[in-house]
Amino acid sequence: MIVGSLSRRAFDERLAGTGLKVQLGPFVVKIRAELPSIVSHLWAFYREYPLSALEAITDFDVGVRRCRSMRSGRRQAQFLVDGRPPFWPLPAGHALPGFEWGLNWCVATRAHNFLMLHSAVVERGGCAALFPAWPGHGKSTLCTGLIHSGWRLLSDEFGLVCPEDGSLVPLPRLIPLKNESIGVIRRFRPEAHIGPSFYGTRKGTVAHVRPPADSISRAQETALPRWLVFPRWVAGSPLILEPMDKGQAFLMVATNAFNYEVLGEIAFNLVSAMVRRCDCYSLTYSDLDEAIDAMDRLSASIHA
Amino acid sequence: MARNAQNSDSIYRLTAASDALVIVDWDGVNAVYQRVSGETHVFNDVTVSFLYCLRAGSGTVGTIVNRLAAAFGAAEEEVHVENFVDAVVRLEELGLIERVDAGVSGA
Repeated sequence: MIVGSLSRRAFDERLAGTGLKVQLGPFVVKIRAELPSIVSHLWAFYREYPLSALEAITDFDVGVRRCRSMRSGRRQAQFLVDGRPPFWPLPAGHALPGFEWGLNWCVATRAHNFLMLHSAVVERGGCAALFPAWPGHGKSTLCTGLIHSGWRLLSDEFGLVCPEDGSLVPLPRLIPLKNESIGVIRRFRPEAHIGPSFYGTRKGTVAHVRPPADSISRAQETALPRWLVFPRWVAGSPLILEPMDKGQAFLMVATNAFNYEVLGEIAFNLVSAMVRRCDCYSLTYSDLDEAIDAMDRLSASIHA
Repeated sequence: MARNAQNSDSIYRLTAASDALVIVDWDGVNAVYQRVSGETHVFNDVTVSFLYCLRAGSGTVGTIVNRLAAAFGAAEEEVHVENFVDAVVRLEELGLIERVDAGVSGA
């Protein structure tokens, strides 16, 4: 049963009452919200996600509460975890980006049963490509382009590595496009479900992409890593796809993980195993079509 | 202090911390996990080779370098002690090797 199978009234009542329990990849998230603005956004973006059983154990109990600024009296949105606010409130109009960032924070600070890489992950033919990158390097743009070109989204933000077998666990959440990349994707795939632009956030203008329904419905299908590609968007640059030394790739992945130090030797071994089984590349691009062609060629080369 | 490693009379041995290393070689770039500290280091081949040679027993830097030369089939005059000074300094800083009195040398 998916969220969209609820009536809008039942959806609103759960959010305002005991909470809406949603399965986001490996996590059960209980969401409470009362602000009309975020409730309508959640309805638009989360209707393809599976509902969790009411008795399922909750991993993250989150919510958004309305409040007012003590100084200006303006309406604000307060993100809550376990009923407590971990951050200062945001303007009420930024409730959705604030909610998504808050949920990222929950995963990054609590999900230590996985090695968490700051990486987008897509899959095709059972083989996964990871795009570890720093902010501004074009990771989300490339990821969004690929998932609208035949690749499956595992995650835009978290490469969740299973410690038992090194597989990648999907967490197909909304993709927050920023600034120029919003227009790039709107032109590239006009049919993509992209929400409204939120202006003046702490990360500039943000608009969210809803993952394709297929990626959401296959969120329990793990994939094994096959490529490590370190992307970098450079205005006007020709496409450059170059093999990368594995020693350098190891260092870049290890330093890119959210919880490498927490997991210690487990993380060292997981990163080593991942680098060993992956072909490693650096990818510089300015044209999204060219970058997608390059990834398609990589995929075709092993499936030929 | 660290540059005292150039003292050719100093005898070095592995510490207990060096027993618990996980080393992965990526074509000359060695990722080394140190279980005792929980830290990951990156060593070149020279540094890792020095550690391996100390496993055969403690010794001066010169002794260890000669063992290295023998292991790689190089003439002793082809291997220069000064090329290993930085490695010795780094390994000592990390607590992976230590100096011992000349009387306890196992070489």
